[in-house]
Amino acid sequence: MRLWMFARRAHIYMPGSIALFGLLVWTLREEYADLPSFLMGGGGSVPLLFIAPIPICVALAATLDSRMESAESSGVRPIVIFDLGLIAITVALAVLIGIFFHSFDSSNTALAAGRNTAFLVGLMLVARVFTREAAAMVPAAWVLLVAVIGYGDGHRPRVWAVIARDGQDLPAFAISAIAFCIGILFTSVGRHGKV
Amino acid sequence: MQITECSYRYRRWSSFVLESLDYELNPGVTILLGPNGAGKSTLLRLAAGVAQPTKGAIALDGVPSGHRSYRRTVAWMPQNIPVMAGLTAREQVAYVGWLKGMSKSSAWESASDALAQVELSAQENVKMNRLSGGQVRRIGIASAMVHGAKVLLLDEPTAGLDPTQRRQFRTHLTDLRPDVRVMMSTHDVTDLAEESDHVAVLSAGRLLFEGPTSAFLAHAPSDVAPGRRAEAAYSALTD
Repeated sequence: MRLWMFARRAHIYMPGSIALFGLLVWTLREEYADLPSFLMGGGGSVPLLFIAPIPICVALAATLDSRMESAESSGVRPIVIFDLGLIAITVALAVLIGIFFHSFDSSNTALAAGRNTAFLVGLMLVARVFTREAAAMVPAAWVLLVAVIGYGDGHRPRVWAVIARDGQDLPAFAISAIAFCIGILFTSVGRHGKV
Repeated sequence: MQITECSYRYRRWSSFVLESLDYELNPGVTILLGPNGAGKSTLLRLAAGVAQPTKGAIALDGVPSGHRSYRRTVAWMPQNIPVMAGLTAREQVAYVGWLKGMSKSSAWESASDALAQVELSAQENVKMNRLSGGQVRRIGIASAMVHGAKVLLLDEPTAGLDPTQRRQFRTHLTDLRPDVRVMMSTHDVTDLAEESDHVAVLSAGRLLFEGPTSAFLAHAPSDVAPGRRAEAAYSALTD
């Protein structure tokens, strides 16, 4: 187990990215940035916490890529279960950090940051099936897309802009959970029978 | 190890890389020869249990290749040895042993022995990304030997080794237990074919020849110099 963690470099990447996530949520939870919004006409502000899940997504992608494909696929250890456990624990920690800061000052953006981590990690895991190297960039690209064209009239998030929804929006929470589960499913299926 | 009517293709709509292959891997060292794209690496991957044949079956002492106990007894050294930048040489070899089902402590001990066999004891605690290409190759060989497998599948094990290291590698092979079966692919016909027990020649996914090395060498024209018989025999079979 320790060797697996060292091989993945999880002992370096994961604590660092979770600490950075916590720091970002703590310092940016009430911060907004004015960005041009092409379809809104007059532009608008977006929460800076949009970027908080990105370090976790990048760290997870790097961790999952740090592997011995040949030895792991011809070995007998259930490595895919360890990987899925690592992903689940990391996302759970991010959600808990969001809940923790929300409990302090009822910050919905902190709550949304945890939820968005689940959504963006799911997106990244699905992207890894199609493009291993570029998958780490997909969450950042999605965040940018939402910031630029994710809002409609009256600064209301569009249907697909899940990460822009309020932290207590239940449908957004459900969609994020589904996206995360699909990512987990793709990861577990994608490993079997790989040549 | 028995390979029965084995065919393989990477995609449903693609052509077969291996076709109706029947083969039994005998004890001793078997050299797998063939031109690039003949299916040598694919055959070794299938035999390693990494992928399942599209048709047919591969089994070792009756245990099918998808089974855990099969994979536990087979070692595979791929052409490209992965370099885990965060691990030392000993950690990487021990990790492979642990992946093959050894306990952490026995994998750790065995890794040290395997590194000694390939004369890398001095580099035990060196990070993998600081080793030379030849040393990484020897780490691959140590990784294949770490868990005492009954079958060693080696894909171009001597590529990138200097002549001295090649000689040492051949010594490691002769030092193996007599019941260990080795199948290794190589392009180094002259160097290895005359020191093996059996030879198999693949071409376009089909087995052109399989048999004892003496039978393989008999395909060489009689006027060929002894040092070039393997090369001549290979040319006679594949041309």
